[in-house]
Amino acid sequence: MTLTLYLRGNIKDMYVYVNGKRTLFERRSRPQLGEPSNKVARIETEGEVEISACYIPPLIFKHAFLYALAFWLAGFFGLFSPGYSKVYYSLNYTARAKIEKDETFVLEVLSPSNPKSAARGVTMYCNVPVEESGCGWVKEPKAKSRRRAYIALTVVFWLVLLAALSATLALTLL
Amino acid sequence: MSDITSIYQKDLLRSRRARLYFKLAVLFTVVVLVPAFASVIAVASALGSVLAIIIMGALVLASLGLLLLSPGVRNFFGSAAGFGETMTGVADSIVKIYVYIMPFAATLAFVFGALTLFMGIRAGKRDGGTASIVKGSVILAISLAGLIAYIVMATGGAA
Repeated sequence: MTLTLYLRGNIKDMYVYVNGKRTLFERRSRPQLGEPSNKVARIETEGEVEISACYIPPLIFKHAFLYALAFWLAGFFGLFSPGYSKVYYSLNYTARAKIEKDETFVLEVLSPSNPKSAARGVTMYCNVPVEESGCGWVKEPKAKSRRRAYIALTVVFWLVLLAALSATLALTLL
Repeated sequence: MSDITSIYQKDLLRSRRARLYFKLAVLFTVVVLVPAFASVIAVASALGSVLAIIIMGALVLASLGLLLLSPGVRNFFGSAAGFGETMTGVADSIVKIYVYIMPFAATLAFVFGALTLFMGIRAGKRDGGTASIVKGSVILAISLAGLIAYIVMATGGAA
């Protein structure tokens, strides 16, 4: 049986898993006629299927400080390290359904930018009964404070470094 | 913490690592590009490593020229004569430092290019995998060209 899964919505670093395996979506430039989205994945499966959508800000991971430090050092003191997203919410959505023939699911993920869409979070459209959990976005205040601290520390470090270099250069040349 | 969240954490960290590798690969490739081109020009014109170093130095100085020649910097250095001497010293140092940095940059660009390529192959055809393969291959080719050019330049210099 083929499960056709469409993804609506664009949240960077949000991954979708089907039966615990990460699903990679084919991206078309625009949806084809009659299709609900331009992102589609076709998965071969049987019986019960579990679809999960997950997003967690990296700064609230376990050992987040160590990871942030490692990336900061490897990326030349934060200059080339990958940035941290401004999405201070986490999402851990799971849907379980039993399929007996080829089915089409549409997973719509709303941005947590306003409280209404944050509360709604994820909606699944399909023709079979679905047991859902963790639909809404959950606010993560820690992620916000940690991201701000990370940016502030990086800026302060570079200011101090530039000041020290300028002072050394001035003392050497004058 | 459920299984999916721990799998997600691993996947996200892998993706962030891939982004970091690519950025570093690009950085070192840029460092390599200038002397690599200069070396290729020098080898092609069969004039040995002296021209390579001159062209390389000129390219590096061109990027710093505006800054060094700006009135503010001129005033900072003091008199015109003193400024000229300082300029020569700075140019000399930059070229010397560059010659030392270049092979390390080429090696690092090669390593990070290979990692980008590896991550692309691992990601598969979709989800930016093909793009990573292309980017990694281009970086590998440039860094390899830089390394070969440097070896040719160094051998020419020794001869």
